[in-house]
Formats: sequence, structure tokens, C-alpha cells
Amino acid sequence: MLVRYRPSSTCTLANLQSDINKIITGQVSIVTDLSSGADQTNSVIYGTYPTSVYTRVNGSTYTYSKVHSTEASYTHYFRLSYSASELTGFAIAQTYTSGSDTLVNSSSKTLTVSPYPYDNYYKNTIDILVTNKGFMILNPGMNCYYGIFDIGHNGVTRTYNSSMLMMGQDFNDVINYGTPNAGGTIPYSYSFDTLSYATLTTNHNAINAIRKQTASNNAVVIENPVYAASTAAGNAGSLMYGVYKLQTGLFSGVQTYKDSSNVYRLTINDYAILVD
Amino acid sequence: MNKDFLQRAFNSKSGQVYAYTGTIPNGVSVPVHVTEQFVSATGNNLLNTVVIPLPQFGSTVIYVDSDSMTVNSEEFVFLTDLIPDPEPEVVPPAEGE
Repeated sequence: MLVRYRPSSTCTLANLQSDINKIITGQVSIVTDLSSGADQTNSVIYGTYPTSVYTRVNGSTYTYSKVHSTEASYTHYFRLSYSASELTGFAIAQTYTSGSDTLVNSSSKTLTVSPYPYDNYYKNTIDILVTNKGFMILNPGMNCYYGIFDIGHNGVTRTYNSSMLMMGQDFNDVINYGTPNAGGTIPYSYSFDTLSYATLTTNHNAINAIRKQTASNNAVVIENPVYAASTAAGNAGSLMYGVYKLQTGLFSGVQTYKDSSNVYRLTINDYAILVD
Repeated sequence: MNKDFLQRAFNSKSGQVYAYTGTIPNGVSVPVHVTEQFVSATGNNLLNTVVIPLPQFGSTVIYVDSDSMTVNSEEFVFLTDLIPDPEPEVVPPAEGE
């Protein structure tokens, strides 16, 4: 499910916190389910919510569990933290202890998501993507393109099976953008460089698709799978679930498109993210 | 186990690394136990930490992505600060290129 969340001029931090929480926990299926702080006229929802995947695990902090979409014995955690006015932190963790409300083996990303009122000229938005494969927040006005995604097993993670099967990805730093291809983090996975578990930085391996067109001059969208790998783990590749590499420059900015089965994607920096 | 090793283990991010010298009960997850002890020692459950058992060194270390907390426990021995990688040097193109 993708919610293109447009704040109204009266949107408060409490509105933003409540709406993001309701979106993650499946309490929003139509725009009128959003708070009065949302611009319900201009907010848009695509797709459906994935049930039995996300659970809020603490009533005071915004901490959630996420069940892996195919490896059901793997559950990882994430936490959103807020300043007095905006969303400022996104932590991802291997596990969690409820007694002390503590993330265990976690890594945090600093970001900025502000409830800046929707402007019909600039079309500013907070895109919140919740699927059974990952969770992502995009706030282009604040240069925020961060998400967490399930990753598949490889030979290393099957052997050292405390390795996480979820990673954080900053789509500012992907192939050809930002600090090129350095935006992935797995907080806890096995490293042959230290012969121990470690925090890994990952890069992407994907086949470069070439721009082609049909006989009717329509551009062909080629979605190649993306593998995350780290030299510390011997470049053992893990499939990133629900993330595809597109041809260079096919879409500009953050856009949606539908595949031939009418399933939506969200694009950013030559990548497509599954919406359903 | 030197600073370079710890920077590789914790991805060269800034922060601090402590060795845990307490006893870990049988049947308990090492990362969970050490993290909970660290939360108790700092009084802060919102820190981001990573616990790594290092059997080759007979040690368990914990990384914390902050340097502003006080650790009130002798079971945690400060090992080192970590520093981020230096920014790559930008070499301007020579004239005429």
C-alpha cells in the first residue's frame, strides 16, 4: 500500500505521528481514515494493506515488529523517533526486548520528515509505502528516501543464521546517485573480515537494463532484480525483496506507474519499489 | 583487537566501543543480555547498540552510536572512540581537460 500523504495547513506533529502509526498498523484504507491534519482531498492511497506483518510493540515509543515475507521465523524491528516538530530518526534492529523497550543490535538513520502543508503548485508529499516486503518513507522536499526491506538468504546467512534478513536502504546513495552505491546497511550479519557478526555496508548488484521502445514508440520498462552485497561477507548476494533497478533516466523524480497486471510501483533514482 | 578491527566490525561509524566483563547466564542470548545491562548502566533505552561476541579474543564488545551518555557500571570497560572515514579528497581537473 502506498499513501501519498499530503498534510493540511493545520497538521501538527501529533497528527503526523498518529497517521503514520495508523498507516503502519493497517488502520487506514481510505483517505477519510486519516486525521484532520491530513489534506484528505489531495492525499491518495494505492493498493491494499498487508495484514499480519506489522505490529506496534510498545505504547509509548513508535517501535514496530515486521515478519519476514517468506522466512516466517525471522522477525525484525524498527523504531521511528521524533523531535518536537518532525520525524527525525529511523532505526532498524535484529531483535527487541519488551521489558525495557530496547532495540537489540540496531542501526539508526537520521532523516527529516516534516508535516509541511501541501501546495498544489509544488505537489509536495510524504510518501509512505507499506508492503509485506518493506516499509519506506519518502519526503522529497527534505531529501528523505529511506526504507527497510526484506532480503533473501544466501549461503553465508544460512550458515551464520543470526544474520538479519532485513536491511536499511537510503535511495539517495544508490547506483549513479549520491555517494554512489553505498546506501545500504545491515546492522547485524556475518563478516569474514572480522570472523564475527558485524554491521555491514552493502552495495547493489543489478544488471544494467538498456532503454528500448516498442513498435508504437512506447518506452519499455525493464525491472531487473537487485542484490545487496558486502565485501565483508565475500560479496554473497541477497535479493532485495520488492526492489527493482530500471533503465537510467526512465522516470524523473518520485512517480508511480502500473505494470501490465495493474500493480503499482513507486520510482526513485532509477529504482522501482513494489506498492502491493 | 585494535581500533582498526573495531572500525571494520562496526562499519567505521562514529561512536564508542566497550568490552563487557560481566557474567552471561547460561541459556541467555548474549546480545540481549549485554544490551539490557547497558541500558541499565546508562539509564537510556533509546541508544542504538550492536553487541558482538568475539570468541577469538575471549571478549564480548558493545558498540553505541553516541558519546554523550554516562556508563555507570564497572562491567563495561571503555575500549575506544570510533571515528568516521575521512572524506575523499577531491582533485580538481587540470586546466584544459
